[in-house]
Formats: sequence, C-alpha cells, structure tokens
Amino acid sequence: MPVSDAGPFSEAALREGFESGQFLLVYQPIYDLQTSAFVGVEALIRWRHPERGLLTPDAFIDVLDSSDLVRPVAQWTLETACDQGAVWHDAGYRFRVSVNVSARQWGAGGIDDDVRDALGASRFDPTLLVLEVSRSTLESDPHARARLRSLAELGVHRAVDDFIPDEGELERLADLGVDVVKIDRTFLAGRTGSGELGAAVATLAARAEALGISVIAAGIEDADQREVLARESIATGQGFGLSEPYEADEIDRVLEDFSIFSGKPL
Amino acid sequence: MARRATPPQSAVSEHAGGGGRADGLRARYVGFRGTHRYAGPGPRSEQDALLDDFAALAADGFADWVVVDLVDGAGATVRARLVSGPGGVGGDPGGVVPGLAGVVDRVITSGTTETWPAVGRDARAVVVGLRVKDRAFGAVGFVLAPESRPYDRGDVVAAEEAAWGLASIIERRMLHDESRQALRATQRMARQLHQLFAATLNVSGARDESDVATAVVQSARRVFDADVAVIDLDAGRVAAWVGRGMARATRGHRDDLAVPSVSGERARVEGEWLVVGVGTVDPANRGLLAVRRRAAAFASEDVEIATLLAQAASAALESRALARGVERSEARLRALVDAAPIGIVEASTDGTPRWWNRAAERVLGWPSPERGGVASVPPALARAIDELAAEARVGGGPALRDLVDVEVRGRVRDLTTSAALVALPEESDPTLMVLIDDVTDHRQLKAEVAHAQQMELRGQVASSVAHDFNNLITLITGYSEILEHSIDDERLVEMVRDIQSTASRASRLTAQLQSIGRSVELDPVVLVPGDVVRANAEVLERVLGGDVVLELVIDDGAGAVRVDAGQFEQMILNLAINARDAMPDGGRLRVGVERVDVPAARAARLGVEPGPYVLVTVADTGTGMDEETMTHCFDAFFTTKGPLRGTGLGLASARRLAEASGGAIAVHSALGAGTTFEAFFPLTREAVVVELASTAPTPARGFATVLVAEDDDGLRRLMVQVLSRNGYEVLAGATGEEALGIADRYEGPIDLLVSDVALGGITGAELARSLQQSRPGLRALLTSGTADASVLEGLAAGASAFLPKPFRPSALIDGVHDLLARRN
Repeated sequence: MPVSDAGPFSEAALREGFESGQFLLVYQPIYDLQTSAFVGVEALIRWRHPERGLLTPDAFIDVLDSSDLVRPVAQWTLETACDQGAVWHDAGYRFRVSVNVSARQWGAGGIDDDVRDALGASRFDPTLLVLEVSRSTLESDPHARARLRSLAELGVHRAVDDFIPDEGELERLADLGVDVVKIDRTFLAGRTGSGELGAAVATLAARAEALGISVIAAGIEDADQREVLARESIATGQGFGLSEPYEADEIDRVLEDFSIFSGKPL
Repeated sequence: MARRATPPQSAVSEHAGGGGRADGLRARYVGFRGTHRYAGPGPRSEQDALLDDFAALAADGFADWVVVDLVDGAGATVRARLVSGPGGVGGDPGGVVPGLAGVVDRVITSGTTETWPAVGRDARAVVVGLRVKDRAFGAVGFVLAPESRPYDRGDVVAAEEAAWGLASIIERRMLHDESRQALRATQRMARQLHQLFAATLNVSGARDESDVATAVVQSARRVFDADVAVIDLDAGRVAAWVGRGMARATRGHRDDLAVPSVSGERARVEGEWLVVGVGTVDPANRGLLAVRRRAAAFASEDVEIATLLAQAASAALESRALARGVERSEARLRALVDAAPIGIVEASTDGTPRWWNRAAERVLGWPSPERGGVASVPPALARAIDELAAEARVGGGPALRDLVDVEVRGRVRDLTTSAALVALPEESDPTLMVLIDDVTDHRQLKAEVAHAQQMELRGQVASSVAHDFNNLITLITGYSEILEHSIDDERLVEMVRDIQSTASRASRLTAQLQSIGRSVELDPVVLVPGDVVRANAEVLERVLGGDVVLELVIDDGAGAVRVDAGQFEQMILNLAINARDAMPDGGRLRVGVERVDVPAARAARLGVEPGPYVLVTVADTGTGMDEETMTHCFDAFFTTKGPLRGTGLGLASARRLAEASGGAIAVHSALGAGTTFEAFFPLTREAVVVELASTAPTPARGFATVLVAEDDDGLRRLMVQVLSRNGYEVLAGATGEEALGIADRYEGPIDLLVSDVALGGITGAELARSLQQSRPGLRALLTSGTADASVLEGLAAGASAFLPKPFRPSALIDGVHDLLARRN
C-alpha cells in the first residue's frame, strides 16, 4: 500500500459502510462431485454500496487490511457466518460453513478467542465450522502449530485455501494440524485438459484420506474439470462452473429446490 | 421488448390455416410452460418478463396484437400492454376492434371468454379472462389485423388454453413466491428466536447488572443485526453499548447517539431506532434497550422479539437483585459466624467436621475449611461431641461439656463445648452444630483475680495490725530513748541501743506491711541509681557478710531516674538480702547499673513502654529458683525462708516500686545457676536534685505550751514525758472532747496542738480546726499510723504539719520545734 488514496475508498467511507450494515455475506455452495449433494458453503464478504452496487472484496480489501477495521469486520464475519450456520443447522440441514481468516486477523492473535465467542453466541456446532487460511499465513507464523491445536481443541476444522499438490506438501500440512485442503483455483485454471489435471491430482485423494484430510477443489469452471476431479476421487468442489455465491435466503431456495429435485445434477 | 427466455421451439410464424395457427400456439405454449413452470435457483423471475414472453409467443403467428390488462384486488387497472405482431404493425388495436376496451373490462369482471364481433363467424379478436387465486386478475386479448384470416373455433379454444395456462403459471408462481416469503420470514424469525434463546441463556448466566447489560446489548445487536445497541439502566448507573463488529460490549454511555426516549414496556419503532423499556418491579431501576439499524427497517416481528428480549433482561435483572440480596444476607451471616470469638463447627451427626469458623481454626489449630485439609479432632473432644450428639438427639436442646486438660496440638487446653442438632431445610441429614471455646486463659485469669483478692485481704489485715504495731513501736522507741539518757552504765546503754535498733527494724517492717494493703505514698525524686548504689556499698557489704563478694558494675553514664529514694535503697537492700540467703556457702553478688533501650517486643513482655531505661541488675551465684518459685516470687507473703526468717514482702515491695515508677522488674533463674533480678526504671532527662544539708539554725527549745491529744494511754504518757523533758508546758487529753475542754478551761496561751488523727470521737483534724478558730495562731501537729498528710486539708496553712507514726521522740521534738519556729 503506497498511499491511502491508492484505494478507491477512504477508511472513513468503509467504516461508515460497515457500521451502517452495508456489509453482507454471500455463500458459495460446495458440492459432492460424485452425487451433486450439497455439502457446504464458503462465506464470502460483500459490500452493498449505496451508489456502486454489490462490491466484491477486491474493491476494498486493501483499504480494509490497512485499517483498524480488520478485526471488527473479521469478528462480524465469523459471528454472522456462525449465526447463519446455526440457523441452517436448526432448520435440519447439516453442512459445513467455511470462513476465511485474513493474514492480519491470524497474525493479531486471539483467533481462538474470536472463534470461541462466535460459537458461544450462536451455539453453532463447532464441527461444522471450517476456518480457511493461506499457506503463507501459516508459514510466517511461528505459533501456527499451537494456534491450529487450540482451534482443533474447539472442534473447528482448519483449512488451507490455496493448496498446491506439491511433493510432501500434504504431509507437511497434516503434521502442522491442518485437516482440510482446498486446491487453489489457479491450479485448476491452468489445467483445462483432462489428462494434465488428472495426472496432477492422481493419488491425492488416497493420500489425503490416509492422513485424515478432506480435499476441496476450488475454482471449477467447467464440466470437464469436474468430471476429471470426480474420477480422481476428489470428493468435493466449488466454483462458478457449479454455482455462483448466493445470499443466505437464496441458499435457502437452493436447498429447497434441491430437495424438490433430488438427484438433479447441479 | 426484453425477452428473458427464448422459447426453445420456435413456431412457424406464417399465417397458416386455422389448425396450424392453433397448433403453433399450443406448441409454443408447451415450450413456454417448460421454461417458466419451475423457478430454478437464481434471482427471482419477474412477472413482467413472464408476461412479455407470453405476449411474444402469442404474437409470433397467432395474433397481430396481444393486449394484456391486469387489475389489482380492487379492480383498478394496473397494467395495459400492447404487443405488436411480427409484421411490425403498431397502433391501437382499438381502431381495428372498436369497443375492445369495453370487452376487456367485461371479461376481466366475468372471467369468461368473448370474441369480437360477438356475432358472426369472422372473429377478429378473442379476449380471455384471467382468474388467479379465484379472483379477477386481468384479461389477455388476441387481436387480428383486418387483412388476417379471422379466428375460427379451434383458434378460440387454443387462445383460451394458452391464457388459462398463463393464469395457472402466474398463480403457481404467486403461490410459490408467497410460500417462499413465508418461509423466509419464518427462517428470519427462527434465526432471531434462535439468537433470542442464546441471548436468554447468556443473560441468565450474568453475574451482576453490568454483566446483564453487556450480555443484553451484545445479544440485541446480533438478534437485529443492528448497527449499534445500547442499554441504560437504573437511572444511568448501569449502561453499556456495542457496535457492529465489536466482539464485546463497552460499559458506559454513548452521549453522541440520539436515542429516543421510551415510555412503558411496549417496544416501538422510531425512525432507525427500535426502543423498548427494560426494568424491574422497582421503577427507579427502569431503563431502556435501544437498537439502531440503517440498512433495513424494523418489522413487526422485530418489535415482538424486542419485547421478548426486554422481558428476558428484566427477569435476569430481577433475579440478580434477588441473588444479591441473598448473597448479602449470606455474607453478613458468614461474617458474623466467622468473626464469632467462639469456635463454631458444623459437623455431621457422627461428629465429622464439615465446616468451621476462624475461631475454631485458632482454638483447634485446624486449617481453613475453604482450603481443605484434615481437621484432626482431639480424642477427648471427639468423645465429648459423640456424647453431646446423643444427648442432643434425645433432649433436643443444647448440651454442654467442660473438658479439662485436652491436648490440642501439643498444648494442654481447657475447653468448653456444647452442641445442638440443626435441621436445615432441604437437607435430610441433620447437622450437628458444635460450639467450642478455649477457656484456658479465662480460667487462669479467674485464678489470678482470686489470688489478687486474697492478697488484698491479707494486706488489709496486715495494715490494721501494723497500725497497732506502730503505737507499740513508738512506745518502745520512746522509752528506750528516755532510758538511754537516764542510765550511765555503758553495758545497759548498749542493750538499750539494741532495743532501739530492733524497734527501728520493726518500724520498717510495719511500713512494708502497710504498703501491701494500700497504695503507699511515694515521694519520687530524680536520682542517679549508680550513685545510690555506691553510697550504700558499705551497708551492702555489711549485710552480705564476709563470704559473699560484692561486685559493682556501674556505668556512670547510665543516667537518672525518678523514684522514691528511700524505697529504692530498700529495694537494693532487699534484693541483696535475698541473694545472701541464696548463697549460704558464700559466692558473688554483682550489682550493675546500665542504660538499656527496651525494644517493642521486650517492652510488651515487661508491660512497659518501649524506650530508654536504667537497668539495675542484682545477680547472685546462689542456689537459684525453680519455675514455681519464679512464678510466685513477687507475690506478697511468698517466702522460701521459713516462717521465722522472711516476711515475703521484700520482692513484692520491689515490684510495686518498679511498677509505680513506670518500670518493671524481671527475674531469670535456674536451680543451681544463680538468680538475676533486673529492675527497669524509665530514664529521665530531669536534673538531679542535690539535697543540701539544712543550714538553718536549730531553734531554741521550750518556752511554749503544748496540748497533746492521744487516745493510747502509753503513747500519750510518753509524749507528755518527752515534751516536758524538753522544757514545754504540756496539757494532755485522751479524746478530742477532753482536749477541747482542757483548752477551754486553760487561760494561758496554747502554742501548739499535737494530736492523733483518730481519736474515737471528733478527729484530730476537727479538733485542730476548732482550736485554730478559737485560738488563732495555734499550730497543729497531727500524727497517724494510717492516715497521711492529706488530713491537713482545711487547717491553717503554714501552721500545721503531719508526723507519721511510728516516730522517735526526737522526731516529735523536731516537728514541734519546726512548727513553733515558723511562728517567729
């Protein structure tokens, strides 16, 4: 961040937007690639700007990260996602809710307290909450192992959201205390051919299962990718090729329609 | 015209024959239904788009114009739309079909289908009524251009089928939307109720009002997804607020928020705010809960939820208030029990202690029950508690036991214990309440008081005996003095002197005896103890005899003290005599004088103020004392010397002197290791009074008349004799009345009255006062073995004096002379 006016929004505008309730969460469905069953959602933050419409984080993340709103926004995100997850759970649906943890929030410490607070206030089942962090965040944190352990003690799943299936990477992450890996969207983006992708993820599922790790494929753009991943036993995936993110009540509708058209490929 | 969905099967758009036109419409409608029947995932489809699509499919080969009119529930037209056909023909179909609007209106109301013209086979228009959810919804008109082939019967049926199909799709969608909205409302409500439930749990777990306040605002903010939530309770004494994204609430006010005021308990919406009253039955405690939400207006469910939340908060506040009352009462009782000076033990009926207070910890040396640990009950106490428990079960009332010499943690103590059965509500097993008091000190104190009373009694007896003794001694001394001057035989004179010295010792003894029973008039002066000891060294050596070596260790810088000089000398002498008696085979006596600083701890043991003292030490190398002797050696009449040798008064007097002077006396001894007495006297900065010998010339004796009043015949005769021998004219009476009579009858001057204080009738003082009134200038010398100089009060100042008994004749003469000398 060279200067503050590099971003289109001032911190004050961001604060005003946040504090007057213009921020919202949308949820991108995650499906079982074999059966098309709905297995979870990833919570994503949006800003419903009064003049500029619905904004994705790209438009404001730089300003947010350099402001002291990081912690409140992160806390609100966790809190809202847990609340919503608890509502779905209470309505009879049992699926995971993934929440992204930014490097700033992770580095500030107290993430386990934040999670405990959010879980306590919402009474959301901790085993349905997945916290997603990036590899670089974990690598730069000397206390990563202890933090992951304290989260595991809460019952919460720990995910790396930019996993690249390199040699030994899966084992390193498992050893550190990660139990979910999400294959990075850039990894899929470069591999449209079925042969290339198949080779890249071959045996990944088996190794992950042996380590007790769940694998999610992110950024699935087309049916071919999906087919290859399903063939390689990558259990779950998300992406615009499967479903775009929706607001909570639209997810209700997806769930409802899904229950009407059970078995219909999504 | 925006098309939201393209019919997958594009119908042939040529003006085909009647059957072809109707079939085309049917085919396109089937495709249309397949697209629009189910609303797939994604943003809600709009009705406008649906109608546009329908119009488009109808215009595509079936009609040149499609007119769709919709009405609302009241029948007012909400939408009128013209769709031109594929030929691009625009304009008003009303021009082609005169009166179309009237037909449409009719059809909307009737819900039927009409063709135009109404009669004849050349129908140029078909208008079908739309009914949705059993009410008039609108109408669809299919209109042909004049050049087109008129509609036949089959076309009318196809048009009806398509329009009715549209109505059913609209109805289905409407129902779908309504059920979805209901579902969403239910889910929103469910979410709020869910959070309300969580909030209730959070709030009910709060410790105090502040906790309730913070829990309520946090919950309220979440329940309503509000920007900010504030609570203000108890006239602002408890307040908290929380904003979006804050994990925890902040205590205190937010003055910058224009929170609307609230009246009553009903929640209400005011602009961006939703406010509701919160409070307990106590109106002073009333407050409000307010949440502000800018992103979305509050709905009626929100008001209901807010009311519920406020009720939960009120209930929590009330329960906190109740709990606090209970806690306060409990704390007060606990403090009372804990501070009770008697050990209180809560035990099970088998005597096992469950809880005990601090006094019990002290008395029994138990650990604090809060910290855990074993309370070891001394066996004797355990037995007593067992018995008491049995008695309490039978009798119901409290039972008592006195336990003597119970060993508690290695110390022998006397305990008083009592027990009662206490039936506590909600406890099936009754509790045994045991009170335990350590009465060891109390008993000792009682023994000491009894001892002191005995001492006092003995002292009173001694004092009265001493009074009579004094008179006898005065006689012995007086006559022996007369005798000494009346005989010349040296041998007899020596014997008389022995009589005098014996009487003199007896006199000292009676003085000591008297001092036991009542406070002695001390005459403290400032003196240097070292000097006094040195001055008496010769006397001490004589007292100690040849076998005991006297060693003086005197620090000349020790300083001065304020003490009765005579008693001080007496104390040194007494201590030396005791030491000598403890060293029958000789030894060494060390008398030391030094300055010491008595620190606080030692001062407390001695019973004096901390500070500088002059310490007089008298240490012998004698037989020493055992514990018992040491404990009692300062008691009056306590002696180890046997009935004939010691009076048991010496050390008692020494202690009395030391204590009266603000000091103390202590003893250290062990059998065979000698004894050391330490007498502490507070150091004084006052100047030492140097007593100079009197240089006043001895006044001439005689030439005066003296009236003697004394009830003791022997003593009176002695006094008369002594005074006469010294040249005085003497008048004498045995009582005050007799003396008054003599004075009345005597015509010459009476210069001086010598009178005993106690005379049976009027006292010596009264006699003196009376005579001083009738004979101004009369001097009075009062004597007494029991009274003191205070009897002179009320007598002529400077003309009266006091002479304590026993007195030597020379002291009487000196006293008379002194008084008469003042006359001049």
